[in-house]
Amino acid sequence: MKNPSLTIGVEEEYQIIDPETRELRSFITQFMESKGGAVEVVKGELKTGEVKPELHASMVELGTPVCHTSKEVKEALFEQRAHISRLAAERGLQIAAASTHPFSHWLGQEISPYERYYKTVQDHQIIAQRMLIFGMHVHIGIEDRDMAIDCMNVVRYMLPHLLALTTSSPFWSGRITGLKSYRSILFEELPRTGLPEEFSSWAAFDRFVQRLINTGCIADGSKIWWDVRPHYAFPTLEFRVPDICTRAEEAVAVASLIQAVVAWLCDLRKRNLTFRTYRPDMIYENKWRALRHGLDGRMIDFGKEEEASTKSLVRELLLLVDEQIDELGSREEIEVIYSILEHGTSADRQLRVFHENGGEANKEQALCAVVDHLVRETTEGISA
Amino acid sequence: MSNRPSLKIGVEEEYQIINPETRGLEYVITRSSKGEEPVLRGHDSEAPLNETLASLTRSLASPVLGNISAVRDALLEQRIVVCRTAQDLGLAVAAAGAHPFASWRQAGVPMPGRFVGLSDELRGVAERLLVFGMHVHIGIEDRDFAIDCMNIVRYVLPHILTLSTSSPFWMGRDTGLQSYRCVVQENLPRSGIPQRFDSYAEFQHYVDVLTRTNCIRSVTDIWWDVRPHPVYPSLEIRILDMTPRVEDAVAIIAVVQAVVAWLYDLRSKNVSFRLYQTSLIEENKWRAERYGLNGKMIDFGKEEQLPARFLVRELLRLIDPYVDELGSRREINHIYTIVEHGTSADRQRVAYREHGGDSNREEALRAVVDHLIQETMICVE
Repeated sequence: MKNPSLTIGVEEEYQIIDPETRELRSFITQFMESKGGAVEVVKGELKTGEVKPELHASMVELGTPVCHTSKEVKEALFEQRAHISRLAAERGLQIAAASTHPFSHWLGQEISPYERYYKTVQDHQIIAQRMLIFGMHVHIGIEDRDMAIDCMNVVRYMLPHLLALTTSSPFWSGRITGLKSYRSILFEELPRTGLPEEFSSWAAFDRFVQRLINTGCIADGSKIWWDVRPHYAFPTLEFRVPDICTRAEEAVAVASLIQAVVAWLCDLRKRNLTFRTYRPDMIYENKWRALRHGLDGRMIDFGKEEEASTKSLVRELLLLVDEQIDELGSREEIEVIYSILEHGTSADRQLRVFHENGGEANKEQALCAVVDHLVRETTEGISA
Repeated sequence: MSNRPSLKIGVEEEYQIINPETRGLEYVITRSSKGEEPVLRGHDSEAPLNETLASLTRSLASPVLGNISAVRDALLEQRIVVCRTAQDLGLAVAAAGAHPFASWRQAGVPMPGRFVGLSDELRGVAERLLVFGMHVHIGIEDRDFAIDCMNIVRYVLPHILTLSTSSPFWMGRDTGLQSYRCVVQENLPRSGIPQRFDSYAEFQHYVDVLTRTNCIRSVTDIWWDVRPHPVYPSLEIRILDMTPRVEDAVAIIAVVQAVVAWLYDLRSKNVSFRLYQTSLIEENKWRAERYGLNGKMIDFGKEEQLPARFLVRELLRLIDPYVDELGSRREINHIYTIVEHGTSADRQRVAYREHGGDSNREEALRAVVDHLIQETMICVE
């Protein structure tokens, strides 16, 4: 087996916010047409990717270049957020990183004016219109495609742990959903989402994709939206399970942890070992608990067949990949995870801000306060 | 080799009780998750329920029936009792997968049944569950054959779903889907098409692990589209929307029974229908939800898209050798009418358009409710 490069790339989908109303604002067309938007921003060696549209016109997507270390990711992601916030500020707008908007309703949201998005809505109807959600995708370079599949099978077990660290969608259409990641529920309304089934090889996966293409289910592999997938164009394994982290340093920490987990699985493989694979319907139980309770709940250790606090299971995962963290030189970036474990995720903070500002009794202002809080945190520690 | 299954039939229906003035939902006769017994739900759990309807609901047993004509009689009788009781109270009844405009967010709308039976755990997804399904039980006494049958029958669940679709509207909007109920239902954990199990022992192990780790209290907290019933010796098909017309329900039940008879016969000849990956079957389920009979589904053997109508007719041919023996020829023949003329979802859209559609939305939606009531209550006349 060829050693994987373990490169990291992070894509983030941001909310475009109107600072007056705090509502989402459809603005992607203007961004695309603006000079600083379509042009790549160069800073030192790193190129921040282009501004890209997404399904709804109030979303804007940016991706880091291919990075080799956590430090590069940190620099690129910070620069990317600073860049998009500047672009927005120049037009009197703001940017927020959270997987749902606290109150903007999906009804009446503009769809980005591109053929492929109209087709998505035509195909998926109300389900597509409700997809007013924002994600973070982390790519890890695994050039050997069979290893990518092997890794995908095994890493499914850790996806709930990763989700628990990132939850940022407790609100939907102005209501407390009772879940920490309502985005996860919404996204799974689309076909080809959620935890993938196990594949025995790259050939088996490729055959699966070909079948779906041959039978008109999909035009190409980009329409497979699982929580983890071998990317259809890049030689990467793409992690799509996390909510977008509101704080940039938390996003960097989670991306670094994902890199360390993949490195660990490859090291196991070299020693002829593997983490046990479990049925997706069992892993889903942990995903449910992660999206419902975030870090505050308990998940299941299926090896022991026992419940344990989610925080202790995340700490255990960090210990499992400890060696790899040093090898990859990401100790400092990953330290942030301990602070997430202690203080909670964006979802926890959003709920706190909501209650501190009067909660249900003062709902409109409290929800606006959450938006302001999100805008602030999105560029916290980043010089614009 | 297991004994021939009894193929006895049990049916559970859920009804919408409607205020004929506003056309809004007044009550729902639904199932509680605990033991799945029928319950009546009103506007909130505290308010006193209508005692007449409540006691009627408690008496709605789901008898085990030997053949399809007994099913027809029982279902008809049950619906007549519910409709008459409602009528006496100045209310009406509709049998459909969703109410066209009731909003679970609005005060005054009945609580979904399962929500009340469940812990706070499912909050956020359970409160949306204002949907109505038909559950069909087929008696399979041998538990290993029940699992075998569950594995294989997954392939035809989308086909069966296309025949029952009746939830195109949701909260006053055309969803663009034929069965939006399926989408809402799949918000729940442990829903949708199950994965395959090698044996009853493996299924039992799955249940044991989930029970031990406090994921579920019992099998009743597993809401798959098909499951071995926790108490009765039956396989329970749960993918179906409620159908307004009783003869549609009876015909679909007859198909489900004949499919199990067919799979048993194959098994006794050492043959099996091929097993496909759950992800592939889900593609057909998606198409069934989205387009119903009007779309195409995939024949994964041929790896080809074919009209859903064609594939349903093909299924009817496959089960044809068992239909006479089961005494359900007349009922199965009715499926051809459904295939030709469409399902309730199609008729609801026609009613909506004929009453002005989007430009006359509120009235058009009320007309859809009237249409559903009319199709449901025709059995009383």
